[in-house]
Amino acid sequence: MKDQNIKAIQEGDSKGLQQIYTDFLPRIRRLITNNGGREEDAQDIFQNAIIVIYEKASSKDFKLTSGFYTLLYGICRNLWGNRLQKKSFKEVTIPEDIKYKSDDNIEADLEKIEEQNLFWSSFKNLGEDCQKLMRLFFDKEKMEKIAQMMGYSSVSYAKKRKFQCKEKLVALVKADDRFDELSNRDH
Amino acid sequence: MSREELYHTIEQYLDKQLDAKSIAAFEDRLSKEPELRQEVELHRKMQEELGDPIKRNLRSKLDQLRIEHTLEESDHKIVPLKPRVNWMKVVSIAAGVLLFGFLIWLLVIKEPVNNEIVEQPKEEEEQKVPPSKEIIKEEPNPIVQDETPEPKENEKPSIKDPIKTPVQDAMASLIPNPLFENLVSQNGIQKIFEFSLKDPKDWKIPVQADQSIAFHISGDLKTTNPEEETKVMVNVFNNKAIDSDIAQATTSFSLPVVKEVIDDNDEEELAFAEKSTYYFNLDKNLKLTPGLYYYTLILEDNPRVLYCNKFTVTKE
Repeated sequence: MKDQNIKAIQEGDSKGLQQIYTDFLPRIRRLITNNGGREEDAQDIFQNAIIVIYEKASSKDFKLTSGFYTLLYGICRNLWGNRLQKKSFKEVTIPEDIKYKSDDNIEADLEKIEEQNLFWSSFKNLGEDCQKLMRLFFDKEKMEKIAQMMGYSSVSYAKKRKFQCKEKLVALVKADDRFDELSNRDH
Repeated sequence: MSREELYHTIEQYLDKQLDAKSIAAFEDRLSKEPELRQEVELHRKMQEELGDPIKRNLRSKLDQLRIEHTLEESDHKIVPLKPRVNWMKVVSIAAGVLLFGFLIWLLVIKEPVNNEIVEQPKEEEEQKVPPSKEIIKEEPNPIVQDETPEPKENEKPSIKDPIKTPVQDAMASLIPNPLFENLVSQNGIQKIFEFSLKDPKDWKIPVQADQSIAFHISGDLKTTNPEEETKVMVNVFNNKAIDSDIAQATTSFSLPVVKEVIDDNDEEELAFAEKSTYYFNLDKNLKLTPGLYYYTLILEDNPRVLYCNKFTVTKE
């Protein structure tokens, strides 16, 4: 039987996600703030860990071999450890806890998550109209339908508008400092 | 190839909609142009990430939960990381500093120090503390009560951000946007496309029971542009929009215009008609929350703002 927390994440179930926040955020917050992090870091790490779990749970090979909290804690611990390392807090070591030790390749996860966060935050910086249009576009709706749903006068205008919105999205992504950082890492 | 055409080709390539010949030609370009390869990769990754509706939904909900839980759970103190302290080192440094201070005091004792000048950078330094979104209340948190109460040397004071109340939020949504205020002030400058609107100066539109507002504009457009068909768009922006680019619009829709018909028999009028006139009269229900909004009129094929005005959405 599938873990109910994993199910809530996979389905984006509001109540289930609310429960995850209520049950586990305080403990993760303690982990982060007791290890040099701030509230904002704790929120970032918690959110990123849930996305990592969503990604993992979406793969065919995924099998929850421990409790949900063990998985969440392990991921958060590694994400935070990695971030600390980047910040060059060289003297910092998070105490090892064999119980929560994760053997996953967190580097790859982290890089992917950072890139995805960049796309998401850029997307959110678009105006509502462009967000709506781009959602339809990314969902592969036909241009005729997009024009109709957006209330545009023609398909050619919908195409033009789609280009303008995407161009803006690309510009926002490229203007972000994280983009250069991630691009440099690729090369 | 224009940017628009390039985007179209990249999308077709990623969607496997190109024919074999076009694929070969495009892949040939890809092998030679690293920048194009990067661009294609960016489009592919964006599609992969933003084209998953479940994940988009998950992210939206996580963003919302983050706001809720940051407000609810913010009454804790940040515990600075305990540095590994070498006490011998600390004592020797402190002794050195004291000795140095004493020597300085001996040297400058004849010139009294202006306290204000000395204090100033300290204040500035305190203000330069990295911005922190957390809201820290006065009560101590039981979780961290047992942690070192004394501030550490490297501890930076937390800025107590004011809790944003609904009243403050409402006020923020009414702050004029300088960029758009400037556009409003430029109405009438356009000579090729001259809009005359009957919109009120201090326009307030109340939110109706169905949470929408009745947006109405009417007027005319006089233009010397010989184009047969003039398509006008209305873009609505909230007061936080960073530019008048359509990509920032809260909502956008076309403005149907009707061209004035000149009697074919009136040759004199036809000969002297330098400008075409278009009329419009639009009623539209918009879903907007209370706040200050700006709307711009542009032509479908040109992002230049031809007219801009503002209205305030008020509570019922």
